[in-house]
Amino acid sequence: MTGIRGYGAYVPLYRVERADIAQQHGGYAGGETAVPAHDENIVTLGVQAAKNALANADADGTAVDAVFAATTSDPFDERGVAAHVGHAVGAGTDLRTGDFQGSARAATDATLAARDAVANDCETALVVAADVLRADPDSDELETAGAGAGALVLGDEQVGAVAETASHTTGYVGRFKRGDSPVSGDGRFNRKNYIEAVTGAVDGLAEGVDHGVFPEHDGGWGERAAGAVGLDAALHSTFDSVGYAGAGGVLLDLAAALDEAAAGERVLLASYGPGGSDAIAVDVTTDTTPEMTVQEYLDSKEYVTYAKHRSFRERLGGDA
Amino acid sequence: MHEPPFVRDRAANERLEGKECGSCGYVTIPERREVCKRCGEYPDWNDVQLEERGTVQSYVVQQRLPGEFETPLPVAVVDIPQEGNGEPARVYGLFTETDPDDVEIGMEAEADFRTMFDIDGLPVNSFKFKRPRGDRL
Repeated sequence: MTGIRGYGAYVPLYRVERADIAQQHGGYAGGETAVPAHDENIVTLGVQAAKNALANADADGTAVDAVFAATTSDPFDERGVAAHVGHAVGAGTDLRTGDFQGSARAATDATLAARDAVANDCETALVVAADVLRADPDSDELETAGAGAGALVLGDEQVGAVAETASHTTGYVGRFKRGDSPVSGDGRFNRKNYIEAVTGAVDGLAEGVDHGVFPEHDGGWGERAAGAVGLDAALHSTFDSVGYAGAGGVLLDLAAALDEAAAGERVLLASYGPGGSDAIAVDVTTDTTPEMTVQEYLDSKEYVTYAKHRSFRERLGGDA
Repeated sequence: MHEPPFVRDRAANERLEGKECGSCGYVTIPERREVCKRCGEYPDWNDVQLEERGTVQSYVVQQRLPGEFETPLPVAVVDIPQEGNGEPARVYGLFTETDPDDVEIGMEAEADFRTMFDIDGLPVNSFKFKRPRGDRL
């Protein structure tokens, strides 16, 4: 089994209440959405989460042999994220990198690649997932287009271990986004295809699970997926506080579950995005949390007005 | 890509690696010098790692700045300690996400990795100071 040496997360300080967005564009919405500051982007979010994970792992950047980065909101076709996270944490020039994009599932693509690397010749691998979602002002996605990041350090079995994994690739797209254009396709869930992909991945892993993590781009679906496979576990989601944060949200929600999980418990994560789902079962071996837990990141917040939230998003432009 | 100056200073800008004068102990970041600004020697410069926090020595609040800055913006002279012994580095830095009313001389500030500016849309990231996130709990 590949060990988990540490984990961490990061959520921006600012929040907008979804009711404030609904007031401008109609409709009704509860909860709130994380808004990045004007000087935050996917690399800075990822670096924050990576540093928290490395501190939790009691490691510095020089211990890192590989960085695998995942995002669905990189505004650059050519630049990459992993190498820049690696440089910022001081991983050295002999670093191996991998960038995973194109689906929120990229977070588990990267985690599985890191697991494989550690099983081979890589001692310590850093997995970083970060997203700053963009949305048009009058789109359905605006209310829940969030921002957040999570990170895992794989290697020694300090915090836990990757116990079992399974994948279910359907090729079904649903939600998609072309270049800088807004989200198209099935922005809200296609129930049948979501349930098919996620239950297909978790079906064989649902026994003996204490904590379930089903990151979602629409509220309430994690519970339905858990119900569909008969999962009897505490569910963890940051959707009501952060919104949908793509690949970043996958490892952010996993961190929220790991914060709560006690030694001896099992956490089951099922990612979902265009293409399918991956399930990863993590056995927790040590009670530990990073210096800032996900709940502390959610609690330490500052509300911004609708107008300020818009100006932060506009400044982001194509330059995130 | 036209970013050679930032390439050369990336260890300082992205990881807070400073240079310490082997003669008098003065720490410089991000500038790399031949001659020590304080003692005037041509010393050997030692690599030192600075911590991602500092103490505010003095500050002003900028009210009118170009559009890419958030105003009112506290800008401060901050002493950043090094890991281990040795003098802190004294730097001039921008604040972010911080109400000017929450800034005071002597306060502990966190150094956070943020975008400073961009070149043709490519963000150049380095450190800004802020009121510690844990203080907002």
